[in-house]
Amino acid sequence: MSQDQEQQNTTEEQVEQPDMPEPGAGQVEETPAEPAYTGKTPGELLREGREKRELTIEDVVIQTRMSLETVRALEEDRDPPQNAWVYVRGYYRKYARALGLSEDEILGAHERFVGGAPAPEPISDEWAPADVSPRGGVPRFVLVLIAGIIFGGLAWWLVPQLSRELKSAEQGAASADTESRQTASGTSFTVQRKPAPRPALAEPVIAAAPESGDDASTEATAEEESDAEAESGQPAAETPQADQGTTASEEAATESEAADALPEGNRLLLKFTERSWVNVVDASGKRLLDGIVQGGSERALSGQPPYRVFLGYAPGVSVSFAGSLIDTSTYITDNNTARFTVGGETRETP
Amino acid sequence: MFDNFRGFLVNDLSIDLGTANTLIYVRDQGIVLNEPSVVAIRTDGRGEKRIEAVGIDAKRMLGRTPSHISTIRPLKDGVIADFTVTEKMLQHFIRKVQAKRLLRPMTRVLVCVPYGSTQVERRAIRESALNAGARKVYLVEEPVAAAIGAGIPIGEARGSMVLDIGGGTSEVAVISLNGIVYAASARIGGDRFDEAIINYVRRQYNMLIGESTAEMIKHKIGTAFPGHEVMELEVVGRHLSAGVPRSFTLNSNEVLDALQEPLSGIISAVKTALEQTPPELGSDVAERGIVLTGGGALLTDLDRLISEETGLPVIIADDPLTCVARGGGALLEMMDRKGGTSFAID
Repeated sequence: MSQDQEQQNTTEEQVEQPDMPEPGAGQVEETPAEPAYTGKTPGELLREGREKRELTIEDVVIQTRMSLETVRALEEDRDPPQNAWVYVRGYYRKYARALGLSEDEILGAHERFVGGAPAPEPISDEWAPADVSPRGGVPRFVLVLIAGIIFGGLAWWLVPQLSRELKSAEQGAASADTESRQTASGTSFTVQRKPAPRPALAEPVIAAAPESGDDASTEATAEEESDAEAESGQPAAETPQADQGTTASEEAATESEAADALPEGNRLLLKFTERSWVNVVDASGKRLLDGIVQGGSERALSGQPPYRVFLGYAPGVSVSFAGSLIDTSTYITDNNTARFTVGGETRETP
Repeated sequence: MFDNFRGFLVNDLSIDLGTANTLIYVRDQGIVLNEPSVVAIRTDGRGEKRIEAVGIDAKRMLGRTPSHISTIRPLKDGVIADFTVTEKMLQHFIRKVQAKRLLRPMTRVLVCVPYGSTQVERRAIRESALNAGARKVYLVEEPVAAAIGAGIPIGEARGSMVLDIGGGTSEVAVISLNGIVYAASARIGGDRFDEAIINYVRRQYNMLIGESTAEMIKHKIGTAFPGHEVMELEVVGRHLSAGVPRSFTLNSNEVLDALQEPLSGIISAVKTALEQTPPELGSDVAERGIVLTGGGALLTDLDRLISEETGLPVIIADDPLTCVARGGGALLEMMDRKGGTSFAID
């Protein structure tokens, strides 16, 4: 207990340091749904999270298998004994997950605290035995010289040819133009010279787009974005493009605003005190919500009642329909799941 | 100026030729290709074969082809199973990442190979890369590339353990002073997870599902450790007795049951590695923890399972899927700085 107090004092002292970066402090609104970066250090966030869950440092050590020294170092914003960035980031992620906090939030706070994302250490070969493989016999400047000669020769040979071809093409185009003009004056079928080639050219560009932009990550991002849109229930056109600078609090605020905008009559409100998987389907078979929702957030859904609800961890979720709270405790099974129907005439089905 | 000119003449690629996915890292550009290692081949009326699709397009065809088109995964257990098809696939990928120019640059390729691969298997990979258009081929062992890509300071006189779970193999290695102290490769990976799910569904539900469905189940509700949330997924398969497609619901606990066998294989490989590690390095590993890389690291709660089984902290590297390719890229850059590297094998 006294150790904890001592750590708290140490952290407070660190917070008071004038050179501590506090970007965005006071600008970001704190919402209960998803706490945003409020200028707190990662150590403070972790300690608060641990104390909120009434865990001791020893509990965290047992849960994460990290050493006591490492856990203390993380809470006190000191470098842990293993200060390579891969380990430090891994420890923060592990600690955050053990407390049910957002890994990105803690890592983001850490990056801000240390002043930017840590750069990976350059690998060194100095401990390795000397390389005995024979190196390329030709020195580099000779290669450059040869390449220069080749390019010079090619340019000398290609430039006159290209200019000749260009001239002949221009002449050909000019003669074709005059021919067509002559034909147009005689007959009417040359009117078919419509701006048709334009869409024909546009087609291959569209078809080639997935090939040229064959980055799987872009596809994945697009999918994620569309998933996020589906969850929030907003149409794709209205959703602004994902901005990296958007904070969690802003997202939460938008979510709650969206929830308020829904009609009260059919509104199904799910409040998550714990992390739980949830699946909600309305009468038309439309899947309103499907996936894991973090604790401390809420989701307001609107569709065609009755809603079929399946909760993965029912004790951690409170459900209210049209403003009235629904008692889910009667449907909770041995493995903490609950399946029931809300709204309509058949209000509940075990 | 010189770098630009050099970039015009030489093109450095680091390839993670994996059983499930092939990733290519281009120097100064990063990861530019991440596609499934799948090739679709069309056989015409005269029996001649030609490539119909490669990568993601071919994967979409997996299990959905008519008789004259066959989809092939040319790598099995981390090594080449079909030499010609691998060569064609590599050729396709290398051409795809290279800018179309009048003069093709000299392509230097670094390919990562499993630790346990034999000389014959390594030679097959080297030949295949050379025939695909590479002028010079370097081979590097996957655990080393994975450790470098994850950002582990392997040059220190301290032990670091890396566990790379790929599509075909899982490699565990203890590295110190830029050298492998102990390494082992178990032929268990994401493919075995998929197989286990297919077998479980056949046994428990008398239903037959395809590889793609099994992979989708693994991605969506696959877990390695019992959590307090149960996720469900509706799956459609073919009923073995009735012979008609039917849907059924599978939950995450069942998938966990299905994955027990391959997971225990990985756990025992890690335990063996810890047993074989010299005590000084073992204590370093116990203090620092095990770093997980590879696509397998994305299986929910796998780090927790290994942590519970070994009693050590287990951390997942940033972007574990691309660690091997990025590590290979870092090695290529080091080769330029130093004129070579001791990490390259053969």
